[in-house]
Amino acid sequence: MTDFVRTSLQALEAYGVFGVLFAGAFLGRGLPGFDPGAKGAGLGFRLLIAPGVIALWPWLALRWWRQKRGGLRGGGADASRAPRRLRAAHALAWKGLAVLIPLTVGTVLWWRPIDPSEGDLPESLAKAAQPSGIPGASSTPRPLRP
Amino acid sequence: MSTTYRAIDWNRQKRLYDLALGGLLLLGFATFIVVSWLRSPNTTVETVILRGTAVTALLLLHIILAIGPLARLDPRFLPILYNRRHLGVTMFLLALVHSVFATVQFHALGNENPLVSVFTAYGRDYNVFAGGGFNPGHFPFEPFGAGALVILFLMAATSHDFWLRNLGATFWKAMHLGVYAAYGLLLVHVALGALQSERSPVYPLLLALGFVVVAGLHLAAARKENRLDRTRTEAEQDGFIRVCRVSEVREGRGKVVLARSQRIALFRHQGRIVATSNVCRHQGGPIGEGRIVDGCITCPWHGWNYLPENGCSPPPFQEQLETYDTRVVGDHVWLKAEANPLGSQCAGSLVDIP
Repeated sequence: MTDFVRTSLQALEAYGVFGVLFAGAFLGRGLPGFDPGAKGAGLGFRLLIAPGVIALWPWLALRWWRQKRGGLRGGGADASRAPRRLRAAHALAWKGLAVLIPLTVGTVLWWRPIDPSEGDLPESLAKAAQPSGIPGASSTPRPLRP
Repeated sequence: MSTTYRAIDWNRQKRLYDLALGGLLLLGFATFIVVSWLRSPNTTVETVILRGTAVTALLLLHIILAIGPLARLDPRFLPILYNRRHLGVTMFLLALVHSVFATVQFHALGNENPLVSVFTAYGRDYNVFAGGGFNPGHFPFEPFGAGALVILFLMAATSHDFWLRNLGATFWKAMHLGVYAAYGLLLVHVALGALQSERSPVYPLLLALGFVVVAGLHLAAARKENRLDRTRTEAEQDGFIRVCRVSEVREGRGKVVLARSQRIALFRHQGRIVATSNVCRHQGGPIGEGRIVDGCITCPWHGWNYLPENGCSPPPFQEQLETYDTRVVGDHVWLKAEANPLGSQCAGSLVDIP
Protein backbone atom coordinates (compact mmCIF):
# COMPACT_ATOMS: atom_id res chain seq x y z
CA MET A 1 0.00 0.00 0.00
CA THR A 2 2.76 2.42 1.00
CA ASP A 3 4.66 1.79 -2.24
CA PHE A 4 1.51 2.31 -4.28
CA VAL A 5 0.75 5.62 -2.53
CA ARG A 6 4.37 6.77 -2.81
CA THR A 7 4.51 5.99 -6.54
CA SER A 8 1.14 7.67 -7.14
CA LEU A 9 2.26 10.81 -5.33
CA GLN A 10 5.52 10.89 -7.30
CA ALA A 11 3.57 10.61 -10.54
CA LEU A 12 1.28 13.40 -9.38
CA GLU A 13 4.32 15.51 -8.49
CA ALA A 14 5.79 15.02 -11.99
CA TYR A 15 2.40 15.88 -13.54
CA GLY A 16 2.31 19.08 -11.45
CA VAL A 17 5.87 20.08 -12.45
CA PHE A 18 5.00 19.69 -16.15
CA GLY A 19 1.82 21.63 -15.45
CA VAL A 20 3.71 24.53 -13.90
CA LEU A 21 6.13 24.66 -16.87
CA PHE A 22 3.24 24.53 -19.32
CA ALA A 23 1.31 27.21 -17.38
CA GLY A 24 4.33 29.53 -17.61
CA ALA A 25 4.40 29.25 -21.41
CA PHE A 26 0.65 29.21 -21.91
CA LEU A 27 -0.21 32.12 -19.63
CA GLY A 28 2.81 34.11 -20.74
CA ARG A 29 2.47 33.73 -24.53
CA GLY A 30 -0.30 31.44 -25.69
CA LEU A 31 -3.39 32.79 -23.95
CA PRO A 32 -4.42 35.68 -26.27
CA GLY A 33 -4.18 33.44 -29.34
CA PHE A 34 -5.99 30.62 -27.59
CA ASP A 35 -9.06 32.63 -26.59
CA PRO A 36 -9.72 36.08 -28.12
CA GLY A 37 -11.54 37.07 -24.91
CA ALA A 38 -8.19 36.87 -23.09
CA LYS A 39 -6.57 39.60 -25.22
CA GLY A 40 -5.51 42.37 -22.86
CA ALA A 41 -6.52 40.37 -19.78
CA GLY A 42 -4.57 41.34 -16.68
CA LEU A 43 -2.29 39.52 -14.28
CA GLY A 44 -5.14 38.90 -11.81
CA PHE A 45 -7.06 36.90 -14.39
CA ARG A 46 -3.97 34.90 -15.39
CA LEU A 47 -3.19 34.06 -11.77
CA LEU A 48 -6.81 33.08 -11.16
CA ILE A 49 -6.90 30.53 -13.98
CA ALA A 50 -3.33 29.28 -13.30
CA PRO A 51 -4.38 26.42 -10.92
CA GLY A 52 -6.82 25.17 -13.57
CA VAL A 53 -4.14 25.40 -16.28
CA ILE A 54 -1.75 23.36 -14.12
CA ALA A 55 -4.46 20.77 -13.37
CA LEU A 56 -5.76 20.44 -16.94
CA TRP A 57 -2.53 21.03 -18.87
CA PRO A 58 -2.67 17.95 -21.16
CA TRP A 59 -6.13 18.93 -22.40
CA LEU A 60 -5.09 22.56 -22.91
CA ALA A 61 -1.84 21.55 -24.62
CA LEU A 62 -3.70 19.33 -27.06
CA ARG A 63 -6.26 22.02 -27.80
CA TRP A 64 -3.61 24.70 -28.16
CA TRP A 65 -1.61 22.49 -30.55
CA ARG A 66 -4.72 21.71 -32.64
CA GLN A 67 -5.58 25.37 -32.75
CA LYS A 68 -2.08 26.30 -33.93
CA ARG A 69 -2.52 23.80 -36.77
CA GLY A 70 -5.76 25.57 -37.65
CA GLY A 71 -8.08 22.73 -36.77
CA LEU A 72 -9.91 24.37 -33.94
CA ARG A 73 -11.43 27.75 -33.26
CA GLY A 74 -10.96 28.88 -29.67
CA GLY A 75 -13.20 30.68 -27.27
CA GLY A 76 -16.55 29.87 -28.83
CA ALA A 77 -19.51 30.25 -26.51
CA ASP A 78 -21.33 26.99 -26.09
CA ALA A 79 -24.68 27.11 -24.38
CA SER A 80 -25.82 23.96 -22.75
CA ARG A 81 -27.32 21.97 -25.60
CA ALA A 82 -28.80 19.26 -23.48
CA PRO A 83 -30.50 20.89 -20.49
CA ARG A 84 -33.02 18.08 -20.27
CA ARG A 85 -30.27 15.46 -20.03
CA LEU A 86 -28.52 17.53 -17.37
CA ARG A 87 -31.74 17.82 -15.39
CA ALA A 88 -32.15 14.06 -15.63
CA ALA A 89 -28.54 13.60 -14.44
CA HIS A 90 -29.23 15.84 -11.43
CA ALA A 91 -32.35 13.87 -10.53
CA LEU A 92 -30.58 10.53 -10.98
CA ALA A 93 -27.62 11.67 -8.85
CA TRP A 94 -29.90 12.64 -5.97
CA LYS A 95 -31.96 9.47 -6.18
CA GLY A 96 -28.70 7.53 -5.94
CA LEU A 97 -27.36 9.65 -3.08
CA ALA A 98 -30.67 9.36 -1.20
CA VAL A 99 -30.03 5.62 -0.99
CA LEU A 100 -26.23 5.40 -0.88
CA ILE A 101 -25.47 8.01 1.78
CA PRO A 102 -27.89 6.81 4.50
CA LEU A 103 -26.76 3.24 3.83
CA THR A 104 -23.02 4.00 4.04
CA VAL A 105 -23.12 6.52 6.89
CA GLY A 106 -25.66 4.41 8.80
CA THR A 107 -23.47 1.30 8.50
CA VAL A 108 -20.37 3.17 9.63
CA LEU A 109 -22.14 4.70 12.62
CA TRP A 110 -23.92 1.51 13.66
CA TRP A 111 -20.62 -0.40 13.91
CA ARG A 112 -18.66 2.29 15.66
CA PRO A 113 -17.15 1.45 19.07
CA ILE A 114 -19.62 1.66 21.94
CA ASP A 115 -17.16 3.60 24.07
CA PRO A 116 -14.31 5.35 22.28
CA SER A 117 -12.18 5.55 25.44
CA GLU A 118 -12.05 1.74 25.50
CA GLY A 119 -11.53 1.32 21.78
CA ASP A 120 -8.46 1.26 19.58
CA LEU A 121 -9.39 4.18 17.39
CA PRO A 122 -6.80 5.17 14.79
CA GLU A 123 -4.24 7.49 16.35
CA SER A 124 -5.39 10.54 14.40
CA LEU A 125 -8.94 10.09 15.69
CA ALA A 126 -7.78 9.43 19.20
CA LYS A 127 -5.69 12.61 19.05
CA ALA A 128 -8.56 14.57 17.63
CA ALA A 129 -10.81 13.29 20.40
CA GLN A 130 -8.53 14.88 23.01
CA PRO A 131 -9.44 18.52 23.68
CA SER A 132 -5.77 19.46 23.59
CA GLY A 133 -5.00 17.34 20.56
CA ILE A 134 -2.50 15.31 22.64
CA PRO A 135 -2.45 11.57 21.91
CA GLY A 136 -3.51 9.34 24.75
CA ALA A 137 -6.14 6.83 23.73
CA SER A 138 -5.62 3.28 24.88
CA SER A 139 -4.88 0.57 22.35
CA THR A 140 -6.88 -2.23 23.92
CA PRO A 141 -9.40 -4.01 21.65
CA ARG A 142 -12.65 -2.13 21.48
CA PRO A 143 -16.10 -3.61 21.96
CA LEU A 144 -18.14 -3.77 18.77
CA ARG A 145 -21.85 -3.80 18.19
CA PRO A 146 -23.19 -7.30 17.55
CA MET B 1 -21.11 40.08 -19.26
CA SER B 2 -17.73 41.29 -20.44
CA THR B 3 -15.85 41.27 -23.75
CA THR B 4 -12.44 40.79 -22.08
CA TYR B 5 -11.84 38.44 -19.17
CA ARG B 6 -11.14 39.96 -15.81
CA ALA B 7 -10.24 38.22 -12.58
CA ILE B 8 -13.64 39.21 -11.18
CA ASP B 9 -16.22 41.44 -12.84
CA TRP B 10 -17.01 43.39 -9.72
CA ASN B 11 -20.33 45.18 -9.41
CA ARG B 12 -22.35 46.46 -6.48
CA GLN B 13 -24.33 43.26 -6.04
CA LYS B 14 -21.21 41.08 -6.03
CA ARG B 15 -19.55 43.34 -3.46
CA LEU B 16 -22.59 43.19 -1.19
CA TYR B 17 -22.80 39.42 -1.68
CA ASP B 18 -19.16 38.89 -0.75
CA LEU B 19 -19.34 41.31 2.18
CA ALA B 20 -22.35 39.43 3.56
CA LEU B 21 -20.59 36.10 2.98
CA GLY B 22 -17.38 37.26 4.69
CA GLY B 23 -19.30 38.75 7.62
CA LEU B 24 -21.37 35.62 8.19
CA LEU B 25 -18.30 33.39 7.95
CA LEU B 26 -16.39 35.48 10.47
CA LEU B 27 -19.38 35.52 12.81
CA GLY B 28 -19.83 31.75 12.49
CA PHE B 29 -16.14 31.06 13.03
CA ALA B 30 -15.92 33.43 16.04
CA THR B 31 -18.99 31.77 17.58
CA PHE B 32 -17.41 28.35 17.08
CA ILE B 33 -14.15 29.46 18.77
CA VAL B 34 -15.96 30.99 21.76
CA VAL B 35 -18.20 27.92 22.26
CA SER B 36 -15.20 25.55 21.86
CA TRP B 37 -13.15 27.36 24.47
CA LEU B 38 -16.08 27.68 26.87
CA ARG B 39 -16.70 23.92 26.61
CA SER B 40 -13.04 22.83 26.69
CA PRO B 41 -10.67 25.59 27.84
CA ASN B 42 -7.62 23.36 27.13
CA THR B 43 -8.33 23.12 23.42
CA THR B 44 -5.32 24.22 21.37
CA VAL B 45 -5.52 26.90 18.67
CA GLU B 46 -4.62 24.30 16.01
CA THR B 47 -7.47 22.03 17.08
CA VAL B 48 -9.95 24.92 17.08
CA ILE B 49 -8.88 25.93 13.55
CA LEU B 50 -9.02 22.30 12.42
CA ARG B 51 -12.54 21.79 13.73
CA GLY B 52 -13.80 25.30 12.96
CA THR B 53 -12.83 25.16 9.29
CA ALA B 54 -14.35 21.67 9.01
CA VAL B 55 -17.68 22.72 10.54
CA THR B 56 -17.86 25.97 8.55
CA ALA B 57 -16.96 24.27 5.26
CA LEU B 58 -19.54 21.53 5.77
CA LEU B 59 -22.23 24.07 6.68
CA LEU B 60 -21.34 26.16 3.65
CA LEU B 61 -21.52 23.11 1.38
CA HIS B 62 -25.05 22.42 2.61
CA ILE B 63 -26.01 26.02 1.83
CA ILE B 64 -24.40 25.82 -1.63
CA LEU B 65 -26.25 22.59 -2.40
CA ALA B 66 -29.56 24.01 -1.18
CA ILE B 67 -29.41 27.23 -3.23
CA GLY B 68 -29.96 25.60 -6.64
CA PRO B 69 -33.18 23.71 -5.82
CA LEU B 70 -34.45 26.59 -3.67
CA ALA B 71 -34.15 28.93 -6.65
CA ARG B 72 -35.97 26.37 -8.84
CA LEU B 73 -38.77 26.06 -6.30
CA ASP B 74 -39.10 29.75 -5.39
CA PRO B 75 -37.70 32.63 -7.51
CA ARG B 76 -37.21 34.74 -4.36
CA PHE B 77 -34.01 32.74 -3.77
CA LEU B 78 -32.54 33.71 -7.17
CA PRO B 79 -30.42 36.59 -5.75
CA ILE B 80 -28.44 34.06 -3.66
CA LEU B 81 -27.75 31.98 -6.76
CA TYR B 82 -26.20 34.97 -8.53
CA ASN B 83 -22.72 34.65 -7.00
CA ARG B 84 -22.75 31.01 -5.89
CA ARG B 85 -19.31 30.45 -7.41
CA HIS B 86 -17.75 32.65 -4.72
CA LEU B 87 -19.40 30.47 -2.09
CA GLY B 88 -17.91 27.39 -3.74
CA VAL B 89 -14.38 28.80 -3.91
CA THR B 90 -14.64 29.98 -0.26
CA MET B 91 -15.79 26.51 0.74
CA PHE B 92 -12.81 24.92 -1.04
CA LEU B 93 -10.39 27.32 0.69
CA LEU B 94 -11.83 26.43 4.11
CA ALA B 95 -11.53 22.72 3.27
CA LEU B 96 -7.93 23.31 2.14
CA VAL B 97 -7.00 25.04 5.42
CA HIS B 98 -8.62 22.15 7.31
CA SER B 99 -6.66 19.53 5.36
CA VAL B 100 -3.34 21.38 5.68
CA PHE B 101 -3.78 21.71 9.46
CA ALA B 102 -4.83 18.05 9.76
CA THR B 103 -1.83 16.86 7.72
CA VAL B 104 0.62 18.97 9.70
CA GLN B 105 -0.88 18.12 13.08
CA PHE B 106 -1.28 14.38 12.61
CA HIS B 107 1.19 13.35 9.92
CA ALA B 108 4.14 15.74 9.82
CA LEU B 109 6.05 14.58 12.89
CA GLY B 110 7.12 11.12 11.74
CA ASN B 111 9.79 9.83 9.36
CA GLU B 112 7.36 9.29 6.51
CA ASN B 113 6.40 11.87 3.89
CA PRO B 114 3.28 13.51 5.46
CA LEU B 115 1.23 13.06 2.27
CA VAL B 116 2.14 9.36 2.12
CA SER B 117 1.34 9.08 5.82
CA VAL B 118 -2.17 10.50 5.25
CA PHE B 119 -3.04 7.39 3.25
CA THR B 120 -0.91 4.76 4.93
CA ALA B 121 -0.44 5.59 8.60
CA TYR B 122 -3.24 3.20 9.54
CA GLY B 123 -2.76 0.71 6.73
CA ARG B 124 -4.19 -2.17 8.72
CA ASP B 125 -7.51 -0.33 8.91
CA TYR B 126 -8.20 -0.73 5.19
CA ASN B 127 -9.24 -4.28 6.01
CA VAL B 128 -12.70 -3.93 7.53
CA PHE B 129 -12.67 -7.64 8.36
CA ALA B 130 -9.47 -7.44 10.43
CA GLY B 131 -9.77 -9.25 13.75
CA GLY B 132 -12.43 -11.64 12.50
CA GLY B 133 -15.49 -9.35 12.59
CA PHE B 134 -17.06 -6.74 10.31
CA ASN B 135 -15.59 -3.44 11.40
CA PRO B 136 -16.34 -0.64 8.91
CA GLY B 137 -15.59 2.04 11.51
CA HIS B 138 -11.92 1.05 11.20
CA PHE B 139 -11.69 2.14 7.57
CA PRO B 140 -9.48 5.27 7.30
CA PHE B 141 -11.46 8.46 6.87
CA GLU B 142 -8.60 10.44 5.29
CA PRO B 143 -8.92 9.12 1.69
CA PHE B 144 -12.57 10.23 1.59
CA GLY B 145 -11.64 13.76 2.65
CA ALA B 146 -8.75 13.81 0.16
CA GLY B 147 -11.04 12.63 -2.66
CA ALA B 148 -13.56 15.35 -1.86
CA LEU B 149 -10.78 17.96 -1.72
CA VAL B 150 -9.55 16.99 -5.21
CA ILE B 151 -13.06 17.37 -6.64
CA LEU B 152 -13.58 20.70 -4.86
CA PHE B 153 -10.19 21.90 -6.15
CA LEU B 154 -11.07 21.04 -9.75
CA MET B 155 -14.37 22.87 -9.39
CA ALA B 156 -12.83 25.95 -7.77
CA ALA B 157 -9.95 26.02 -10.29
CA THR B 158 -12.34 25.91 -13.25
CA SER B 159 -14.96 28.26 -11.84
CA HIS B 160 -13.99 31.24 -14.03
CA ASP B 161 -15.99 31.97 -17.19
CA PHE B 162 -12.80 31.29 -19.20
CA TRP B 163 -13.26 27.60 -18.39
CA LEU B 164 -16.99 27.66 -18.96
CA ARG B 165 -16.37 29.10 -22.42
CA ASN B 166 -13.49 26.81 -23.39
CA LEU B 167 -14.62 23.56 -21.83
CA GLY B 168 -18.14 24.15 -23.17
CA ALA B 169 -21.22 24.68 -20.97
CA THR B 170 -22.41 21.08 -21.24
CA PHE B 171 -19.10 19.54 -20.19
CA TRP B 172 -18.47 22.25 -17.59
CA LYS B 173 -21.84 21.75 -15.96
CA ALA B 174 -21.52 17.96 -16.08
CA MET B 175 -18.07 18.23 -14.47
CA HIS B 176 -19.47 20.45 -11.74
CA LEU B 177 -22.02 17.75 -10.89
CA GLY B 178 -18.97 16.29 -9.12
CA VAL B 179 -19.97 18.40 -6.12
CA TYR B 180 -22.54 15.72 -5.31
CA ALA B 181 -19.81 13.07 -5.19
CA ALA B 182 -17.73 15.42 -3.01
CA TYR B 183 -20.70 15.84 -0.66
CA GLY B 184 -21.14 12.08 -0.35
CA LEU B 185 -17.40 11.58 0.28
CA LEU B 186 -17.41 14.31 2.94
CA LEU B 187 -20.34 12.77 4.82
CA VAL B 188 -18.52 9.42 4.91
CA HIS B 189 -15.31 11.27 5.94
CA VAL B 190 -17.17 12.82 8.89
CA ALA B 191 -18.92 9.56 9.84
CA LEU B 192 -15.67 7.56 9.78
CA GLY B 193 -13.71 10.40 11.36
CA ALA B 194 -15.13 12.83 13.87
CA LEU B 195 -18.28 10.82 14.61
CA GLN B 196 -16.26 7.78 15.68
CA SER B 197 -15.02 9.68 18.71
CA GLU B 198 -17.78 12.26 19.29
CA ARG B 199 -20.44 10.36 21.20
CA SER B 200 -23.21 12.94 21.50
CA PRO B 201 -26.26 11.96 19.39
CA VAL B 202 -26.59 15.63 18.39
CA TYR B 203 -23.84 15.37 15.74
CA PRO B 204 -25.24 12.42 13.75
CA LEU B 205 -28.71 13.97 14.03
CA LEU B 206 -27.49 17.31 12.67
CA LEU B 207 -25.71 15.52 9.82
CA ALA B 208 -28.86 13.54 9.03
CA LEU B 209 -31.00 16.69 9.18
CA GLY B 210 -28.68 18.49 6.76
CA PHE B 211 -28.79 15.57 4.35
CA VAL B 212 -32.58 15.21 4.54
CA VAL B 213 -33.07 18.94 3.84
CA VAL B 214 -30.63 19.04 0.89
CA ALA B 215 -31.77 15.75 -0.66
CA GLY B 216 -35.44 16.65 -0.09
CA LEU B 217 -35.03 20.02 -1.83
CA HIS B 218 -33.25 18.45 -4.80
CA LEU B 219 -35.85 15.72 -5.20
CA ALA B 220 -38.71 18.26 -4.89
CA ALA B 221 -37.10 20.51 -7.52
CA ALA B 222 -36.52 17.51 -9.82
CA ARG B 223 -40.19 16.56 -9.45
CA LYS B 224 -41.28 20.09 -10.37
CA GLU B 225 -39.02 20.12 -13.45
CA ASN B 226 -40.19 16.68 -14.49
CA ARG B 227 -43.84 17.80 -14.24
CA LEU B 228 -43.13 20.73 -16.59
CA ASP B 229 -41.34 18.45 -19.07
CA ARG B 230 -44.34 16.12 -19.12
CA THR B 231 -46.87 18.86 -19.93
CA ARG B 232 -49.14 17.66 -22.71
CA THR B 233 -48.64 19.46 -26.04
CA GLU B 234 -51.73 21.43 -27.02
CA ALA B 235 -53.45 21.64 -30.42
CA GLU B 236 -51.29 22.05 -33.55
CA GLN B 237 -52.16 23.90 -36.79
CA ASP B 238 -49.95 24.87 -39.78
CA GLY B 239 -46.83 23.99 -37.78
CA PHE B 240 -47.94 26.25 -34.91
CA ILE B 241 -48.63 24.82 -31.47
CA ARG B 242 -51.05 26.36 -28.96
CA VAL B 243 -48.93 26.86 -25.84
CA CYS B 244 -50.78 29.11 -23.38
CA ARG B 245 -53.29 31.90 -22.84
CA VAL B 246 -52.20 35.48 -23.57
CA SER B 247 -53.09 36.51 -20.03
CA GLU B 248 -50.47 34.09 -18.69
CA VAL B 249 -47.66 36.21 -20.17
CA ARG B 250 -47.44 39.48 -18.25
CA GLU B 251 -45.93 42.65 -19.70
CA GLY B 252 -42.15 42.73 -19.13
CA ARG B 253 -42.12 39.18 -17.81
CA GLY B 254 -41.22 35.77 -19.19
CA LYS B 255 -43.00 32.45 -19.23
CA VAL B 256 -41.60 29.00 -19.97
CA VAL B 257 -43.73 26.86 -22.27
CA LEU B 258 -43.26 23.44 -23.79
CA ALA B 259 -43.45 22.79 -27.53
CA ARG B 260 -42.56 19.35 -28.84
CA SER B 261 -40.67 18.44 -25.66
CA GLN B 262 -38.62 21.62 -25.94
CA ARG B 263 -38.69 24.47 -23.42
CA ILE B 264 -39.22 27.87 -25.02
CA ALA B 265 -39.31 31.29 -23.35
CA LEU B 266 -42.16 33.69 -24.10
CA PHE B 267 -41.89 37.39 -23.30
CA ARG B 268 -44.41 40.21 -23.59
CA HIS B 269 -42.65 43.44 -24.48
CA GLN B 270 -44.32 46.66 -25.61
CA GLY B 271 -47.55 44.85 -26.41
CA ARG B 272 -45.93 42.07 -28.46
CA ILE B 273 -45.25 38.47 -27.61
CA VAL B 274 -41.84 37.15 -28.65
CA ALA B 275 -40.34 33.70 -28.20
CA THR B 276 -36.70 32.67 -27.70
CA SER B 277 -34.77 29.61 -26.62
CA ASN B 278 -35.09 29.03 -22.88
CA VAL B 279 -31.36 28.23 -22.54
CA CYS B 280 -29.05 31.14 -21.72
CA ARG B 281 -25.79 31.09 -23.72
CA HIS B 282 -23.82 31.69 -20.54
CA GLN B 283 -24.59 28.84 -18.15
CA GLY B 284 -27.80 27.45 -19.57
CA GLY B 285 -29.97 29.49 -17.17
CA PRO B 286 -33.75 29.45 -17.64
CA ILE B 287 -34.27 32.60 -19.75
CA GLY B 288 -38.07 32.34 -19.50
CA GLU B 289 -37.93 32.88 -15.75
CA GLY B 290 -36.27 36.24 -16.34
CA ARG B 291 -37.65 39.69 -17.10
CA ILE B 292 -37.27 42.52 -19.57
CA VAL B 293 -34.84 45.03 -18.08
CA ASP B 294 -33.97 48.23 -20.00
CA GLY B 295 -35.53 46.74 -23.13
CA CYS B 296 -33.47 43.54 -22.94
CA ILE B 297 -34.45 39.98 -22.04
CA THR B 298 -32.42 39.36 -18.89
CA CYS B 299 -31.40 35.90 -17.64
CA PRO B 300 -32.42 35.42 -14.00
CA TRP B 301 -29.15 33.67 -13.08
CA HIS B 302 -26.38 36.11 -13.97
CA GLY B 303 -28.13 38.94 -15.83
CA TRP B 304 -26.99 38.16 -19.40
CA ASN B 305 -28.92 40.33 -21.89
CA TYR B 306 -30.58 39.64 -25.26
CA LEU B 307 -32.67 41.88 -27.51
CA PRO B 308 -36.29 40.67 -27.82
CA GLU B 309 -36.51 41.45 -31.55
CA ASN B 310 -33.64 39.16 -32.68
CA GLY B 311 -32.31 37.26 -29.66
CA CYS B 312 -28.86 38.88 -30.01
CA SER B 313 -26.90 40.34 -27.12
CA PRO B 314 -26.57 44.12 -27.45
CA PRO B 315 -23.21 45.21 -29.00
CA PRO B 316 -20.33 44.70 -28.36
CA PHE B 317 -21.43 41.27 -27.10
CA GLN B 318 -21.95 38.51 -29.64
CA GLU B 319 -24.11 35.87 -28.00
CA GLN B 320 -27.30 34.85 -29.82
CA LEU B 321 -30.44 33.00 -28.81
CA GLU B 322 -32.71 31.15 -31.20
CA THR B 323 -36.02 32.94 -31.80
CA TYR B 324 -39.37 31.43 -32.76
CA ASP B 325 -42.36 32.77 -34.68
CA THR B 326 -45.47 33.40 -32.62
CA ARG B 327 -49.15 34.02 -33.38
CA VAL B 328 -51.87 35.37 -31.18
CA VAL B 329 -55.25 33.92 -32.09
CA GLY B 330 -58.10 34.98 -29.86
CA ASP B 331 -56.99 34.50 -26.28
CA HIS B 332 -54.23 32.02 -27.10
CA VAL B 333 -50.54 32.18 -27.98
CA TRP B 334 -49.41 29.86 -30.79
CA LEU B 335 -45.79 29.05 -31.41
CA LYS B 336 -43.78 27.56 -34.26
CA ALA B 337 -41.53 24.88 -32.78
CA GLU B 338 -38.82 25.28 -35.48
CA ALA B 339 -36.30 27.99 -34.61
CA ASN B 340 -35.53 30.89 -36.96
CA PRO B 341 -31.95 31.27 -38.23
CA LEU B 342 -29.75 32.82 -35.53
CA GLY B 343 -29.77 36.61 -35.53
CA SER B 344 -32.78 37.02 -37.84
CA GLN B 345 -35.35 39.69 -37.02
CA CYS B 346 -38.51 38.41 -35.37
CA ALA B 347 -41.07 41.07 -34.60
CA GLY B 348 -43.28 38.84 -32.48
CA SER B 349 -47.06 39.08 -32.56
CA LEU B 350 -49.22 41.95 -31.45
CA VAL B 351 -51.46 41.37 -28.48
CA ASP B 352 -54.97 42.78 -28.79
CA ILE B 353 -56.05 41.76 -25.34
CA PRO B 354 -54.78 44.11 -22.62
